[in-house]
Amino acid sequence: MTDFPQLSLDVRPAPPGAWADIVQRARRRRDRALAATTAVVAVIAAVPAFAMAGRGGPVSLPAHRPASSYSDVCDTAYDKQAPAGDTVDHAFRLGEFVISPPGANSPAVSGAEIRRRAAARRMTLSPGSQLRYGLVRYVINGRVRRQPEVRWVLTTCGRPEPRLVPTADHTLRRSGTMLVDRLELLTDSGAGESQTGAGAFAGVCDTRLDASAPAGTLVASPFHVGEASIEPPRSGEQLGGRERVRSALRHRFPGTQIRLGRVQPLHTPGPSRLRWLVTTCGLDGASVRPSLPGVVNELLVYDGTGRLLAEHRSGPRSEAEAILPRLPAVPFPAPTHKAASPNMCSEWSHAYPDFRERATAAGYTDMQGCYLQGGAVVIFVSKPGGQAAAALFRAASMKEYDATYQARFPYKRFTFFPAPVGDTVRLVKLLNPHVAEVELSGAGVAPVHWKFDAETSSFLPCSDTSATRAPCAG
Amino acid sequence: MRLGPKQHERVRAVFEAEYPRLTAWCTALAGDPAIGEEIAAEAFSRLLARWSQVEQPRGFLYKIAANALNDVWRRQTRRRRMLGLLAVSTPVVEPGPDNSVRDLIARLPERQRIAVLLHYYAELPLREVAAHMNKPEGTVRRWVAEARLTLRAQLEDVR
Repeated sequence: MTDFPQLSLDVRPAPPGAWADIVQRARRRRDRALAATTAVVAVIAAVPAFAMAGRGGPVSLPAHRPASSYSDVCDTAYDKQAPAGDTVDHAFRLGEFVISPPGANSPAVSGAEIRRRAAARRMTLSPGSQLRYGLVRYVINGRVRRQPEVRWVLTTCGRPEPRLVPTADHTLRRSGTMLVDRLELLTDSGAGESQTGAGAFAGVCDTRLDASAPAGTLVASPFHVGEASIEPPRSGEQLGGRERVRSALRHRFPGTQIRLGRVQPLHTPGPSRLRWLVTTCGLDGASVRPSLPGVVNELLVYDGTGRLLAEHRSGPRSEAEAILPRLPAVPFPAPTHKAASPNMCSEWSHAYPDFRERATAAGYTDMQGCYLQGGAVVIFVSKPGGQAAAALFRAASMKEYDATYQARFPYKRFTFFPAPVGDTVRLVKLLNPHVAEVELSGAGVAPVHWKFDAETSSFLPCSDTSATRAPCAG
Repeated sequence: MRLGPKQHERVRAVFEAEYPRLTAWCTALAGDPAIGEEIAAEAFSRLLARWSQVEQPRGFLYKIAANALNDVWRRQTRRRRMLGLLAVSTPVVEPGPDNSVRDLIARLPERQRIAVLLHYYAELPLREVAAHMNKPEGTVRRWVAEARLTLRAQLEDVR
């Protein structure tokens, strides 16, 4: 015995679900054996049963295993604490957005500042919400439709939302709930700008593989996996053999669903066909196929006789990684986000050159927000050691406005209205077309919220409701 | 697998007693906790399916696990060989043999490997190992002795 090197064992107690898993495996083995025996004539029925029974011989190792992260869009579900971190660390695709790691690029505002600004907007985040910056591409039909840019992205995943299904009269009917992943692009002022969302796990399954799926034998809403496009069956359509499919399955998890639906290849015109669809979501891609990175959803297509016709697997990460090599390269440094209206000027460098140069000469060294509403342009400028101000241009007519626009809003067309306190002013949000909520702060001045009314060209305390009754945080 | 409550309790007791060590054993030999857990679970599910016919549950579990490990090693060897072929045209970085216990055992001939795993590392008596392998006890004893010589030579090379 001493000749042999010692094997060091790391003995740990059995995890809580281990016994239940084993019992389930044994049942599955029995089910498979039973299914096999019904498929052959009685004389040879014992052969497959014998072959499937444990004989102490080599076992086949099921490769499928759950992924360690949630859905690739988020690291965790919305109600679990998300890990800290400011950057997207892998590519993923959700809706029309392809988000990839930013590399050495950085956004216009820091993580601490964007969180502070988002909080000032009373944006409430779930424990699992993640605010990270990445390189954002807007891709439709495999083509980039907008300039890629580095920007802050807010993701929240797995939140239950009503499932809306189309009806025959072209309206939407609520049919239970589904888990949804949401992605929101933020402006540098912390406001949400563009949103997209999809059923969690790309809408392929109702739950992750390790959570029990709801009962139901019909696909309720369309989805796609890999090259297969799935639609709900037409009214009254039926197909036998669900039990045969169930018995034929090699890997079945609590979240695995066997539903009837119509299948059509995504990029091939032709009629769709009624099939049994077996879906399992949240698999570790590497456990299914080494070339599939991240969290993978699986679709197996069976006919009514229990014959496997096709297999499709993909996930947000593998879809992004498949498409990224086909997209044009992004220059370094990548452009940062430039906000559109209502906050048109997320950072100072985006202001028109004449305004920026002259305002800087006048001591206004920073600008944190502007808006164009109701024929007025308001730019909030800060003056370290002095008084912050609102620079206002109000056109008397559209003609005057157009002329000023053509002249790129020169500095001389603006009037400056000093803030009552602080040397820094920041646009928080618009309360109505003329009134904005701003945050005033500075050395020795705790951040305080005020209103700025472009109609009366004045700063108003939050308690003042003469311009608007909209709530203000001050 | 239709077991009565008492039989079920007995299997459960074997599970409580053996599962942690069997999992650790498989993990140490497979080098991957996921594979280790998978093999252990598979072994127990087979035990559950054949409980009424198994006389030595512990030996049965380790025999199943050893066979499964054998499969894993065989697959890994095939993969290494394939990557070696690929490397002619494409440089592939793949960890080579590391002379760990696992690797030393994996390099033994298959029959010796199973015998060593069951006798030395699962601590089953030779008679039981022979019964599980359907071989005379003397044959198994010879395999173990040969394995010992091979391992000693390999360890000396390493030192």
